[in-house]
Amino acid sequence: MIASIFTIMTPLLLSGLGALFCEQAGFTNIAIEGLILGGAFFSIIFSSLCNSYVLGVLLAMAANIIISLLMHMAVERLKANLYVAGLSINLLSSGLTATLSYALFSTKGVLFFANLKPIPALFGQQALFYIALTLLAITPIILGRTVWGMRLRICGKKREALDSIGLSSKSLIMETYIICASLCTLAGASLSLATGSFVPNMSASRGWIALVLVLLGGSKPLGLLVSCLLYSFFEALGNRLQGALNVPSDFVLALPYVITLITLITYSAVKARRNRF
Amino acid sequence: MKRQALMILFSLALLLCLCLLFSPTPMKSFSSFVLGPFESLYFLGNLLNSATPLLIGSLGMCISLQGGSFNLGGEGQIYLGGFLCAILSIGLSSLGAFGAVLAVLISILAAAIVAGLSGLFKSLWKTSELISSYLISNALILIVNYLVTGPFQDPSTNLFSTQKIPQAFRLSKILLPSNLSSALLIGLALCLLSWLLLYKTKQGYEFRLYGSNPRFCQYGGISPSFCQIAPMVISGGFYGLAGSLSVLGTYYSCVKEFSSQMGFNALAIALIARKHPFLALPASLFFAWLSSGSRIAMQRTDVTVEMALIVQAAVFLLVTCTFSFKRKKSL
Repeated sequence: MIASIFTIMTPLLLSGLGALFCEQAGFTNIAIEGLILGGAFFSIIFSSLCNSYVLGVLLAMAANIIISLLMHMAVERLKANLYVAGLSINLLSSGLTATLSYALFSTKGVLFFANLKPIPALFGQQALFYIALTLLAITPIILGRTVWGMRLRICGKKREALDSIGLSSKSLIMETYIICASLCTLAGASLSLATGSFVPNMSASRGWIALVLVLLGGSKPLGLLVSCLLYSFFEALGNRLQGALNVPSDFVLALPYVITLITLITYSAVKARRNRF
Repeated sequence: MKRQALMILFSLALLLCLCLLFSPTPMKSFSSFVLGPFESLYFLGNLLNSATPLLIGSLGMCISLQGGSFNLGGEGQIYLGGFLCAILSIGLSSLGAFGAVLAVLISILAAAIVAGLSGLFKSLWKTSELISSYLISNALILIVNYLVTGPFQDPSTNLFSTQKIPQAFRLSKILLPSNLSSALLIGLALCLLSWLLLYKTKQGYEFRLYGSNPRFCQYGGISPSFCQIAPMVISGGFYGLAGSLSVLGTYYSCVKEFSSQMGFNALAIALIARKHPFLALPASLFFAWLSSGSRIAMQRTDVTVEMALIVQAAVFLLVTCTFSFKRKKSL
């Protein structure tokens, strides 16, 4: 049970961190769903081509960063609507992965890669789980103790303030897009590399859930950890219940959405009440 | 207008590049994609038919976006509307035409309530309606999936769908041999009605005002909770109608996940149309052309339907951009 909680948590934590940096910089990035999918696809393909996980994931990061910078250019330079641009990235990745998969392997179904060695694991968890924990641990240090992190937070609070003292918020935002794309690539890699296969639309709304978890955690790293643990617990519980009680699988799949929704509403209701007094 | 023309030219160019990259017979794929939908009355009628639910959904989104509400739950609301309409039509078949109207009204109401909930949460506790409507919709899709493939599945077929609705409830076809149903006329009428609502009534004025400046509205004595809930309810109702008309006019039963991508496409259309009901008409035709073109190209040549998604994504990315072709003046 605990092992499955951690397995569920890994991609959520990694992509959640990406979303957290964006939140701290003052914008909500809904493209993480598509970036996870792209990360899963590119990391397994490049890993198989290069026969190396590290190289494969790095190349996948490069691909995702290029996609992310397209969105950055549209939003920051051409003043596109942030949410519409984010949705377009999500569409782009599901279109691009299916088209490339069909063009390269002439199938739109599940892709297996037999030549990949099993991914290194420790105590039953893949390496990316420990990377996620390490990244989570250093995030408060980056945000609270470094000049870059403090500037990022100022940018999130009031962008004009940063520009008025002669610092560029533009490059800061661009760096945030790059960081978010890299973290989402890791999240995607944790999905596809763990099983050695790519399933169409394997991100399965994890990006959206991660986004909600970040909001629930108050855009703080510790809050993110708590909300991720809570969510993963319920999802693991649901998987258990499905086997034990013979509940229809659709209900189990719906459970995370319902719980996230209830938590979101409770959270905002409590916050609204606190603000009133 | 120049903008829209540029957009179409751009998407054609992108499509050509994609065909050259991914198709073994690029010119054949490209021509069947672009011209295929206009080759015969059959294809043209199907194009118009697939544009109809998109048009209705996007009209609702125009109203909701003008009121400053972002209803991201269209997918689930269409699905719920279609499902309720299908099972109610079977249950109410003894009532005749009155039963059909009742079934559609109940479906509209149910979808409107679901969307209205997100608006209610927003007005009570400032819960982001964008996130809550999306979450509710995703949970709904899974629950309806269970109902369609479980208790309500038609035992006589292997398809994941409910039983067929009675003959008398089906909308008439207006352009045989294609699937085009009279739902298109309802869509056109709604186009006019939404324009009237937005630009010729007091409520429409309040929505538009609230959408552009909520605080100003409050000073002016316009109830914020009305302006937060009503646009969501209206867009939910439009989505419910789109779903039930797809069932009555096209599918004749609730097929599993028939609404997939419809909600997002309707949203995209509303944004391309810059929230104006009249512009939603050409925009929904454009989207229907993309999807039916890709289907025809897939049937005739070796490309995937998902190629259209890439073109859609590019249109999405550019649609809200502001291009200024003037060079910046140097200081």
